[in-house]
Amino acid sequence: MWEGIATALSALSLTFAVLGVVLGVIIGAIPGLTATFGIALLIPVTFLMAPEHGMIMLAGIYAGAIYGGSISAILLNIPGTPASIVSGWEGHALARQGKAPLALGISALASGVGGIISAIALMFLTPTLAQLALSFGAPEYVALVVFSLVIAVVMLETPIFANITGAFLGLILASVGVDPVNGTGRFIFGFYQLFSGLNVVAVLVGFFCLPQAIVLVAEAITGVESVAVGRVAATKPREVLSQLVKDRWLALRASVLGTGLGILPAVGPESTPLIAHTLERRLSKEPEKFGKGSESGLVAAETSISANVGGSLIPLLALGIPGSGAAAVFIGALTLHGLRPGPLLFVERPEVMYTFFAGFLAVNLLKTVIGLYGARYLARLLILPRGVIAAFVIFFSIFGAYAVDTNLFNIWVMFASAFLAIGLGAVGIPILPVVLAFILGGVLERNMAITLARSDGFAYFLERPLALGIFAVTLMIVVLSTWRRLGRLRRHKDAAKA
Amino acid sequence: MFHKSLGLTGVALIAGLGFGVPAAAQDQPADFPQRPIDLIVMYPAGGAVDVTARTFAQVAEEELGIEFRVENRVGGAGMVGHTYLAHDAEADGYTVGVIANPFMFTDILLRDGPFTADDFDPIVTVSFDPVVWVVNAESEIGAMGFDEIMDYAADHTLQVGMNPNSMFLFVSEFIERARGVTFDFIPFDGGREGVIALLAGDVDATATFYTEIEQYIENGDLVPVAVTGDSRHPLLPDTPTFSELGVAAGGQTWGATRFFALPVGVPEDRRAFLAQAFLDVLESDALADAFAEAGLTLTPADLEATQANYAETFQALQDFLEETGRL
Amino acid sequence: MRLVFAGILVAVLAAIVWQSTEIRGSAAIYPMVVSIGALVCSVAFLLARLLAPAPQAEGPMIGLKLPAGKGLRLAAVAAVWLAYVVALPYAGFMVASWLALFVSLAITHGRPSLTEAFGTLAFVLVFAVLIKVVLYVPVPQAWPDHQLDMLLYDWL
Repeated sequence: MWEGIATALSALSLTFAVLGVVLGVIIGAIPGLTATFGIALLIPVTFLMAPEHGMIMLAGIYAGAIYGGSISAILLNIPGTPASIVSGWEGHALARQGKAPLALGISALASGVGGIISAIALMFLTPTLAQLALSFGAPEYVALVVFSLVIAVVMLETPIFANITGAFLGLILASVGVDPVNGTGRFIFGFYQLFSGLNVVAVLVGFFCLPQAIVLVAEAITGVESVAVGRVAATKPREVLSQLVKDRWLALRASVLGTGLGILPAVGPESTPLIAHTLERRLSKEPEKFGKGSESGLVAAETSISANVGGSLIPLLALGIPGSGAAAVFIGALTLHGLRPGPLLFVERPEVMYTFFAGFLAVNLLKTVIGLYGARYLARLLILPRGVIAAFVIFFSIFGAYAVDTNLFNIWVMFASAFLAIGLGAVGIPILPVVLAFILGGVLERNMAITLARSDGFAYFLERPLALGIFAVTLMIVVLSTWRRLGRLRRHKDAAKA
Repeated sequence: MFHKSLGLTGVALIAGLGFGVPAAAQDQPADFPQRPIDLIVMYPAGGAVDVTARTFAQVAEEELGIEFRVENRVGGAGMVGHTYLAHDAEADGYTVGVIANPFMFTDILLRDGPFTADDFDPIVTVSFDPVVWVVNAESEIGAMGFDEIMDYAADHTLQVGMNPNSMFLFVSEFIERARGVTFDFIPFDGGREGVIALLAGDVDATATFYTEIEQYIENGDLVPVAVTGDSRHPLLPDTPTFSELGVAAGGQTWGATRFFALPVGVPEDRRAFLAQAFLDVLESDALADAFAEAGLTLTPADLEATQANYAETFQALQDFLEETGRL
Repeated sequence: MRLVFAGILVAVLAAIVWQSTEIRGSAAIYPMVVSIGALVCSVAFLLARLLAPAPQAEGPMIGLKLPAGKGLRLAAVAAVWLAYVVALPYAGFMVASWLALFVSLAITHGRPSLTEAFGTLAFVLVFAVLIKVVLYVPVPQAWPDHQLDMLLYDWL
């Protein structure tokens, strides 16, 4: 084990770690390019490197990109990756209050804390925690997805029917592609490119980057400014640190939650921050601030996403089950270097594993430092005139949507998604349930198919206490929130009468 | 004197055998290649086909002195890449597809792909990866041989994992029809999901490639029952082939055949050169070592054998799909 | 505007419901449930909004305020980028990207600028080399792209 750690700290490994993190942050920060895309793009580049170096660099890209997405979310209100949506709510609101350096700093440090905790879990707990992943079968995945969707639907402030519509819309989008039982095409309308479904990157980039880019162009044309993206002052580490100390238990909770959710394949970096954010709002003393510029909310979101990264690598390395979309791409990185994920990986190549773990820890430390002191320099790039930013965002969005599948068709998917997002915004249907349902819809349906194929009726579910438990919690949340909404409705009516 | 000439003849014979010389090596055309040759892979980076292509490219660059680039044209579960190779790629010898059958054939037969089998020109085979039928060691059927499992299956419906409309399903259907049993098919997305479910005890058996289950067989969690193809898997000498057990799953149709293919219409001199050069690389020691290290199977075959096999497997697949009422 | 989008939404959902009735067998259950659910809920929501337009809590939505009078320029920028995608297979990556970037910037700023012309050209060149030499992303190629390919191959 110690040789592994020593190798990780060698100059070459550290160089690759730094390179990976920097590249990852840049890729994540550029709206239109996502973490998954970054990893996929650079996997072939690592082919010629030694396995541990390649993996450390890719881990750096993964972690860096997840953090980098927050930078553009905070400064431009364009989430660089879908995981940064929640950070964007809080961070951009803080930026509007002139607290951009604080937001960037909190993002960096919180992200570092989350990552480090998950790195520790990765190092010491992988075999045990991996077993946890095995006890989750199809019914549990169904329960988890329903749970995530219910949270998205009931916790948003918008009218419940708008949220539910959004969720169903997302499920429809997810069902485009191949029927999981018969293997035949569905909702394809003759486009063979849709056999693998609507491309996730194309749709998400279309939802989040293009409409915002259009807003930027509009602002450039009219000369209106929404956020003064001027010089971003240096982050004051002390200020950031004191915020994090104040929120230390919150950070710990969010890290554990993030790691745990990362281990579960059905819940990835997109849903995790929402769940953590919602949980912390319930526990917070200042719940009304959440969503409008709460530092604690930002800590919760960032910590949990970052912890999710490490968590998703646990079942990946131990069992070959990816805990998230980006982790799935990581499998490719492993097999490219001849490493087959599974129990024997630790037995046959322990030195590679330990080097990787130590490297992952280093990656997170580096990310924190680079974020704390370097984010403002990256922010300088965003000082460019809005029109220029918008043009390049559009260019990178098109390129990102194209490059994932090297397919011009996906660009049209992206444009259509942008149109959909604008339409939904005009009508008043929130985009978040749509996004989550779209990302999770495939998992839901496939596992429902498996469950139905396996079960001989209801008795099957009684054998799966875990699934029943999750369903019970979900039901409880629905009941509680309906109660809350009815109560609010009654108060409105009383107030109106009075 | 006599002994010496005998000896020399002997050496010449052995040398000839040892170096397995096919017909005279093709001359490289004067104007080709002037820029890197693209190897098109229809699947994401890191997958088996992709690793095959990259390992090959690395060795081929050294052996032939030609630069290769691996391009991943992913999308539509392979459709996009196949369509590109069939219709959009220029037939100038700079684009070579790395294809895995019967996935490409199912695109044509089951998914109405905008191309036909005649739109591709296969030039050399890389490998045939058979499908392994595997069970969990700790389950009821873990210690049984194939025949015993079939007896058991007659009374207890087995839950068998598969991918819809894929070869993994077809192989299990062969078994059903040959032995008159009925399985309960559980749909998964990809081979690995089925393997995980098998490990967790959620299904009783599944069909997959050897690389997915190698380490579980080595540490005893999973037990291989039978393999497709004409001969036993080199790493599973004790596992019978389906053919031995009376289930007709021989030939190269029921497994992943990976081969290089050109778009139709490449000039003859370039085509012949590529076919020969690639074969030489595939038969070289350097490649054998590289593939062994990467855990890839290697069963090269030349142009004629590849073309014959291509036509044969297409026919076999078409027949099967018609018999099972899918076409 | 809202009414138009609402109408389009309901129409599209209805079409999807109809499409899922075409699916045979038990595989139709999931798409039918999901699409009918969407249709019913959207109609319920939109009606409720029409009947009682109380100020809704603005969640994290993407609202879009179209600038009055400058809409034409905005539309022109959108058109440029749509044209870019159509032109890619014919003009090739380098030419199309450079033109799209330059023209959209020119429209946004109201007048073309020499710095922007050269800046975008330099960017496109660097990016094209990057994706050829390091990242191997195959983009649509035309004559300039092939020339670059040959040039790089000779040098490296």
